[in-house]
Amino acid sequence: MNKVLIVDDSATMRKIITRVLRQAEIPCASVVEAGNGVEGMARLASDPDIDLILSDINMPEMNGVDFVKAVRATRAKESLPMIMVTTEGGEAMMNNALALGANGYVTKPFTPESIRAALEAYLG
Amino acid sequence: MAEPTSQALPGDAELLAALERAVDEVFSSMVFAFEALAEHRSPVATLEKIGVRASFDREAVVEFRGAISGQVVFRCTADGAHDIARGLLMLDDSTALAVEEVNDALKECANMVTGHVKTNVLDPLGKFDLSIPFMKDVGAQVPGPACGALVYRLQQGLVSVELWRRDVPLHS
Repeated sequence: MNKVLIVDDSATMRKIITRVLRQAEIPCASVVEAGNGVEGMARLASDPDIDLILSDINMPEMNGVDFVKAVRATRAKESLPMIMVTTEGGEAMMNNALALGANGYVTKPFTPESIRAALEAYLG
Repeated sequence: MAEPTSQALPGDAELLAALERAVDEVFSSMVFAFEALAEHRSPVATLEKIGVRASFDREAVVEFRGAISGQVVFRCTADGAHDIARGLLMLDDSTALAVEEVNDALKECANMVTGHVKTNVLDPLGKFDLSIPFMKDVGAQVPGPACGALVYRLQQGLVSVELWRRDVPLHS
């Protein structure tokens, strides 16, 4: 079982992702949420059991690219899988996120199948 | 400053066609019923002339900035906004939603559609930035020429998805 952190400034999108994780039959013990990268870092600091992060890119305060950088700069979290879930599927943006340490990405709108494909390698 | 591009900039018709493809993909994959109206693809001025805009009570906006700048506006009737929120959240008609939930869903929908246009039409032209989606006062004037509007009937309400071109600082 896994604990997934969803980082997105839209409460609607956090609910949609949570629902799609269930539809995709991803074996999640629990889902925890954060509204931007700053909140995501705080959640990671207070919850050592998080197994995977799904993060938006275009967010206020700390965007997804800076969030990837911040997570990877934290030694204890440098190997934590991070999947970007974004409306912006542009090659340059994605290559930047991947170069900084993201493990993959899913473009919105997504399906249970595309979420499952992106997460399969990382969840037990 | 926008980066220079060697590619020809898209005209209004091309941008509107990209917007229509984006709406089709987002609406169909995020599970809500929609139907293009007879006014579909009419210019915004025509919509205002026939009085459609008058019944709209909320607007969600995402701005884009790069070699060309502008905004995508989702203008909804109250029922249309609830249709979108219930569709995205897969809720039935009997589920009550707070205003914040409806507005958040509308903003997210506008964000997905604008992101689709950016990825498929704007990004090949160079660097583009999108604003965080925001709600705007109903009826507030949008400066600059409109490329056009796509009007859809949803389950109970209407939504006009509009593309405007302009050059102003990004909202943040």
